[in-house]
Amino acid sequence: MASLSTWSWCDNYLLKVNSSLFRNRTFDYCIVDEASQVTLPVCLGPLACASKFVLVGDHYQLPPLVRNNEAKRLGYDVSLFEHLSERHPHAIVSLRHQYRMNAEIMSLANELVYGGRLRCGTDAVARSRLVLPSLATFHSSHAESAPNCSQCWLAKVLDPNAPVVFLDTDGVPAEESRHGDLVRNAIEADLSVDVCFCRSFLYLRSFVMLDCGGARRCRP
Amino acid sequence: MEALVAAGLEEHRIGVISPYRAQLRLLRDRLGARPAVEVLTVDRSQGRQKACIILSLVRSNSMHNVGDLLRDWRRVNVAITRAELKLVVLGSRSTLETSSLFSIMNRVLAANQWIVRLPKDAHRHHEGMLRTRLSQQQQPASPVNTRDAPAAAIGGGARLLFPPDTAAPVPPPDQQQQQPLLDNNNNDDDDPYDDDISDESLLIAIQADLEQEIKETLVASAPTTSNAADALAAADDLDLAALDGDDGDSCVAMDIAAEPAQQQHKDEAASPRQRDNPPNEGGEEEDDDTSWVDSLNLGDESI
Repeated sequence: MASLSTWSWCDNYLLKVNSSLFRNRTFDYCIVDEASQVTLPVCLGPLACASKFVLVGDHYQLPPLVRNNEAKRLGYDVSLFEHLSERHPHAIVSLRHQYRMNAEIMSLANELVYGGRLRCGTDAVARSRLVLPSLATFHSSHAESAPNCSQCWLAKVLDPNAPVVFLDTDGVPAEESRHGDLVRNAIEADLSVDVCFCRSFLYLRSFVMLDCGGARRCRP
Repeated sequence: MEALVAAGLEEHRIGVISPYRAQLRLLRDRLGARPAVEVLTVDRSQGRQKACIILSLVRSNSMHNVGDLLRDWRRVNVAITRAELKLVVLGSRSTLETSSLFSIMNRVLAANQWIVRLPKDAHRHHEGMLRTRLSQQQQPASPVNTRDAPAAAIGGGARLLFPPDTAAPVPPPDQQQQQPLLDNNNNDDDDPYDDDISDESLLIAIQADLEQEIKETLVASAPTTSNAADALAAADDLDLAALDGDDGDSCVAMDIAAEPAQQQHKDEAASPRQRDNPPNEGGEEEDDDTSWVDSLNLGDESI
């Protein structure tokens, strides 16, 4: 491969596709990442500059954002990726290994969407935990400053062995509020911020180490 | 110092996401001092990942209506697959259970004992700790901190941090010179959501720069003016007093129509530089809020 160039969809992709880098040049391959997220016309442009192309995407995730209802009705929100995967199923290669989520977070997605097909790429990824070494400091200062808060809900949030925590607000309670079509939830926002601050609180004392079997460690 | 650097780094590893843009606005208001904590719609978070994701699902009502956004399983999939190590989901189980998708999720969560039923008024439980955090942080008191911690501590029912008739730190002249900068900053904050993500991140960067500048100014002026940390402590006391004197229900009974005005007051109060502004901006707020509603109406259901 003579040269390798990358472009980002987030930037002004049309501009870039029309730029001099693309003009009068042919690439061996065009690899389009997040291809399930771009509309067909946008996706087609760069493909014309290469003799082969690879589209990488996941149509279990959100399709291209199309706001015009007429355009939506006419199928503008169906990506080239989706069109091709329906018409040429033999050309699809399923990548089942993911290197992002630990096993527990992945299991949630597996149950809900992927029918158990997702796998963790390595054991280290599967076992990775958010480890907070100053947890003891947190608990002691928590006992001092919030003595009435026994069985603290934040403890579970900080527990490295609970990679997924669902905080049920029914008992708080935290009713949503509406303003026209807008919905928001102020108490839930406060609770979210509590979780953030509680983490930041810990970070100020010591570095947080991401224990991924030594593979990844957070540097100070 | 190294720890602070680490703190900065780590905040980058936290993302707060929600399907509802109105919720993001609330979250950004409350997290204003921590631009490193990224706040995104679920849709915008696609393709991204963070060590820790906090997902605010918003919907909680007596009709048990989950809403269209959360009925799209692709959106829910994106939302739950952004986290590498920790996923914290906030939501009302009784409301969400009516959706078949969430009832499956509920089953998985319950089987793993991942559900924590929050106690009554859980959002008020850590007010004291937040204050501890501020004092132990030993950072110069900055408008940033006076704004964010009380905002988090007070809860949805915004109260004045510096009631107009009480003593609040008087900005020294050199800080007052910063006023145009701060005003610009706040105006930007109040802008309706911009759809251009790069503008948003630019804003965040500008905000961070401004806050740094303000912080430095405060450090420089702290010895000559009243001790900034004392001012902050005093502010906290006032805040406590306000809480004690209150009947305590305004948080639950918060009226959404009244809230933007309260928010404005809170911002105004928390930022000493703005206390001189006459509190007669009701009309402006309403306009502001309306334009915000318009822009959000475009976005909420379509993205």
